[in-house]
Amino acid sequence: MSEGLPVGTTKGPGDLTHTYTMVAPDPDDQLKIGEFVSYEAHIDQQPRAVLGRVDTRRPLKLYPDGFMADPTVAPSRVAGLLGFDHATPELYEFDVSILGYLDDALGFVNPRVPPRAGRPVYLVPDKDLACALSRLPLGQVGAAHVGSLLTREPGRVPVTLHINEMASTHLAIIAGTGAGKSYLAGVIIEELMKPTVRAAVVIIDPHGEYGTLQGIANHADFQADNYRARARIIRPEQLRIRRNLLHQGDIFQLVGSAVGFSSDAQREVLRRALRTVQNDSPGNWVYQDLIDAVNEVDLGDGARASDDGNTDAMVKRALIWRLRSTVGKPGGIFDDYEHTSLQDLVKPGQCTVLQLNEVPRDEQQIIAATLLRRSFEGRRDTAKGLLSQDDEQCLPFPVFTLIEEAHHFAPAGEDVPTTNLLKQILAEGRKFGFAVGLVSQRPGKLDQDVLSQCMTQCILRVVNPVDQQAIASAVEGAGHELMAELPALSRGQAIVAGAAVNTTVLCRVRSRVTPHGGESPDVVDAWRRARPQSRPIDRALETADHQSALTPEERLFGSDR
Amino acid sequence: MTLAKIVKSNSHVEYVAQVTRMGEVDDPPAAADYAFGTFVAIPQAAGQTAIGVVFDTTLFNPEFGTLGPRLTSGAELQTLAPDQLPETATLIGVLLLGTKAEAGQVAQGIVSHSLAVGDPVERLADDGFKAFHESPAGPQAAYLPLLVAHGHPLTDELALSITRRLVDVFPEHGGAVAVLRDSIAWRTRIEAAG
Repeated sequence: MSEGLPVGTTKGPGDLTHTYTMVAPDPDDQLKIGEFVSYEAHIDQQPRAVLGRVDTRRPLKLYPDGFMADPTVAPSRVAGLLGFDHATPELYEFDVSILGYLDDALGFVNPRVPPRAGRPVYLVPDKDLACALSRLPLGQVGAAHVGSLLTREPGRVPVTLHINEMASTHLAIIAGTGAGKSYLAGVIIEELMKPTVRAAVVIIDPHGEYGTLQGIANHADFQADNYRARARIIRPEQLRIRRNLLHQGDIFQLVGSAVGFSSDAQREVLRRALRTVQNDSPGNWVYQDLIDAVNEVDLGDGARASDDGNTDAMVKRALIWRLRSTVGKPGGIFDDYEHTSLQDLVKPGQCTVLQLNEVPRDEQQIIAATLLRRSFEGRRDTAKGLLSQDDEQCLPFPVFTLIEEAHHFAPAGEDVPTTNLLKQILAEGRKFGFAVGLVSQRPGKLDQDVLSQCMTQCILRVVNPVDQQAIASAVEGAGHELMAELPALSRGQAIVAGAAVNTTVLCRVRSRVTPHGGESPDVVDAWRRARPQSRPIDRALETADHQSALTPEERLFGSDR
Repeated sequence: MTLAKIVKSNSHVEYVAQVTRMGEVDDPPAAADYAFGTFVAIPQAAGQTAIGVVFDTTLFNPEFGTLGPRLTSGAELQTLAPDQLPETATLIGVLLLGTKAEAGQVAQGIVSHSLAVGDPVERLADDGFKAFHESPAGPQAAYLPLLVAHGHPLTDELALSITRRLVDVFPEHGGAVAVLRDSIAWRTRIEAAG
């Protein structure tokens, strides 16, 4: 795994047991932070190339400060005066994290001993690096091409995600505003929609950024002999869920999390009412039946005040108000008769984009919770063999759900309809082939349990210290040194870590095939177009100003007199 | 112009030369000719020339401290003509900085061969100074670290004086030389006093 001339020399063990230090002149600036190097070691009587990642870089020898006194004179020129004409006068010390040698079966194996001083260190050749970093080579079925290694020229070392791992142990894409998180998410969705994968993808899109994925339908990359990927955009008004298909848990969660029960009495009334309608008209009841059932619940003494001082009538009235705000909301997604089949929404080779950009946040949460619950339960029960092909919830294939603005759906320290559901999916989804991808620009506001269960992480530029801390505590795979790189990343550069890659890698995100839908608007142009010329009202104001500056006589006879 | 002759050495690069006097040459050098910082050339075999710089001057007077016996009064001394003349001399310290071959190639730094007693020391003209410091990349004074490291109390000041002269001789490269001059000045003046 070593080619060409060595780029450095091992100096000795580092501060940590899995690190060593290396000294190198690095005249061509090859040893960037995040670059991969190797030294040869004999392990079990076999020569092995032990890979490491450059974490830090410190100068050992630099020009004296005084040589930099004149910005127009290069310090090398001053050194040249003294007869010092070395091409590489500087010398650096590098901390290198030992990843280990690559074993076909075990992945990276740490040799458990740092190199001896004086060993030559080589840059890992591109081809070897591509095999070492990604679990699957580019082009192999199941490899999602997300970009190339940032420390090498674009495209020289492709970085791929292992789709099976990513789509079973969940994904987190974290970045500050404008760092390119939805762009990267779009890249991953493109990979999932290719003919070699044909995934069933649902995107919960609170900002309407993923509509451009419709472009996959007409692009050759997403077509094969018997396949044509499809992106289906669903607006809230196109989504309908029949109320009588909701489980008792759905309704309790919707009412409880969205507006909250004000008393145990309300829960009890709702429980009894739901039992009544489900017993009387299983699968056929309508909203009015539920309201009637609520009104008919007898808690024992209709006039008796409950513990909180409310009478039964007051409890029922409050509960009905809560039901009307959620499952009974006129024009909402819940309907007595219309229903969007889960099998229509979730199909292999289809990317369903649920655009919620004109919907209040609490409604977004209700819609997401309902869809997630129904699809997760459908997938779970199908995997358990509890559902037949005819069942509306039957999903006989794995599902990948991408959730944008995930901190709205699993906020830290706040209970919303989706939080516990997401925790359940993250904990159990792997068994049933139900994975989520969380996209967030505020990891500090995202529930840490939720974030820590996403085993593949793509982290782009993050400047906020609170968010950086949240990432550092939730993301096990990324080292502290690479975390320190977060503010320094440019747009479209990501740290990819976790289960879908062999090791944490700095990645330059590849260009998207479909257009990006999350560009920042050109506000200046919008303002200019909105007010191209002075308008009549401006001229009226100018006239009024002019009039107020005239004397009473000038106002009567004109200022030309 | 022959300024002096090598009379002894203190090291491989540090030599002592005695300034020529009236009687040895018709036109003996004036003090300004062998002033502090004067570049000198010492011709060697095979057309090679050692280049050095005057970094120190001492006056040698063996009579100093010999107060008697007085043979005559001061007034009669005008007419007294003793056979033994007082032997005084001016000695200059010369640090070797490099060599220049007959074809013009310059090598700055340690000179491989030592000088010999009696080698004439000549003043290096301005164009010789310039030629000694010229290189394809611009002016060069690779001997300066050697000079600064020599440890003599005057060599820091000597380095400063040479860099000042280089700024004048190579105005087109004055910026780089000035940075070096300022760096030496800071070390020898500010840091030394701080």
